[in-house]
Amino acid sequence: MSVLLGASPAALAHPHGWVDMSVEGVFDDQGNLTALRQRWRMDPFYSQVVMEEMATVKDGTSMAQRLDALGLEIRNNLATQHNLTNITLDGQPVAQGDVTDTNTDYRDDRLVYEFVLPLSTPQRLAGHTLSYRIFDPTYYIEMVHEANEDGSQPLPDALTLDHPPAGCTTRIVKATPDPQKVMEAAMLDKGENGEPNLGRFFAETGEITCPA
Amino acid sequence: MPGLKMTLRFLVPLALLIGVGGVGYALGWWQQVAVQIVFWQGEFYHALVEAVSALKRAPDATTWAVLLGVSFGYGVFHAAGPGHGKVVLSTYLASQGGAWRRALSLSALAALLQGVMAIAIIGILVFGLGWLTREAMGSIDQAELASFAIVTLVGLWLCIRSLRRLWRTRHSAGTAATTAFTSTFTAVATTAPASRHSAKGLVTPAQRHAHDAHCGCGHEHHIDPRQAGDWRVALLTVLSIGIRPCSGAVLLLGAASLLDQFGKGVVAVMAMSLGTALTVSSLALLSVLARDWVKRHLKPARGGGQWQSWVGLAGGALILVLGLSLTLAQWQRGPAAGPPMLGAPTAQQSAPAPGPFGAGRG
Repeated sequence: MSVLLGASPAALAHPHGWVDMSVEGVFDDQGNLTALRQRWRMDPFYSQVVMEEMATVKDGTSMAQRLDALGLEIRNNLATQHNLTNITLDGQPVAQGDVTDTNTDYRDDRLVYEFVLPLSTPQRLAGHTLSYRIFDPTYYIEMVHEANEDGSQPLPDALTLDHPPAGCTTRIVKATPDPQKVMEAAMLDKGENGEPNLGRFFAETGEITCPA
Repeated sequence: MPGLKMTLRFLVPLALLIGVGGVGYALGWWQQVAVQIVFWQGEFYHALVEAVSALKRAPDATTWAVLLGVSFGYGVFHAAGPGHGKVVLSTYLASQGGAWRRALSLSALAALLQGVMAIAIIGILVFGLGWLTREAMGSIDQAELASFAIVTLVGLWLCIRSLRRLWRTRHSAGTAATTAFTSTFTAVATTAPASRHSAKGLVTPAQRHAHDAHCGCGHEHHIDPRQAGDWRVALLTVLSIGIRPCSGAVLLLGAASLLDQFGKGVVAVMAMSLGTALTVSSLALLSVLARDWVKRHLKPARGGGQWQSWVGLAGGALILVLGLSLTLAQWQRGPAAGPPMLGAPTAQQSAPAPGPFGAGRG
């Protein structure tokens, strides 16, 4: 047993914070999906810890300016990681553009980061399903859609549509990780920092489907 | 044929155990359990944050009870995942001897030390030295490196101790005076009821010569846990596990203190440590039971002391290799990853001597 455990001492990392997300699919006048507008609310504890840091900056800037600077820092950090977002159309990868309209705010004891993630080309969804998954590969942060009190059901406004063509529907699918694959990844698949990349196994999937 | 009978008594349960384990493995039970534990860890973390916030809003008996219960549960399930501390402790106990009482006290000490370290990190670094909580969380990296280095030291120590014993055995085997005694001893040992030996460690050659008042009764002289040097390596083992606090506990304390709830955070962390102690000591007890079971059924007729020394050497080597590989991996990796959206703490100019800390992890 010792040998078995010793093979991967830090095998199953687990989240040390979470983000409550809500996503809005943005359509243009032609009925094409152009972007995913996202709002991330960091968990109360991590928000506290980050705000402590914001409060100690002594460079004469206002809190609003500091939050803006933080937002840019977050945007730049996330830009190197596909904004933690994977988008597919009928299973085929969809390319992303550069993030715009970032906004960082501190509301109700939570640090809130909002941004618009454009698709590199607008996608016609008629008769297709667009899926996205937003996750931290290292699973340090658990990314979940805004949900009810006990976290069992995502809230209706966790995934909404802005000016969709008639009949488009949305769905949030909970993660059902295959234990065997998770353990294989835990044993073999190590990311850059030596941690196993388990986040993808626990990621929820958002779906936008439009009628043909 | 006592030999055959013993072999059967050993092989049949072993085969059963392997069979059950194999079926469980094939059906993916253990993976399911491991993944379920990850889910629970996430849920407990959510509940923990909720409980602290609820207690801040309305500090009454109910919210206190919820915080204590959730903290305890977090400790139990946090410790249930794989971790080097449990590997070190169970290997140490399985290979070096020691009664269940020692297994319990060592694992409880290690778990409590983890809680105390979390409190010390926030208390000293943040309150005392004015670090940011996020920088203090980064210092867990250093604590982890220290932990791995101490694991290496424990392994090295155990190896040297076992090698010294083996050398002494060889040395004493050359002296004719022991031969008669040893053969008498083995004859008695094989015929005596096995259970009477179960609670005792195996003889060391050095002690075989140290005839005391109980000498000649046919029992082996077990390794005294209080033997000089032994408690030191035991404490070092505890230190190797306990020096690295759980970063969940540090984050909890840091956030609680930012919310002016430091005292409640301390209580929660101690409840967490009790939960951790429960899980770790269960594992420790399990390894002691397993060891005693194997010892009962695999008791060698000859060279019992030597056998024990070889087992001790193997255990020490395993811990040494684990410690070395963890230390090297940590060394090469550098600062650990934190949350993907945040880099290293930005306000370092305000902290006295933060050092090259990244964000926390664990």
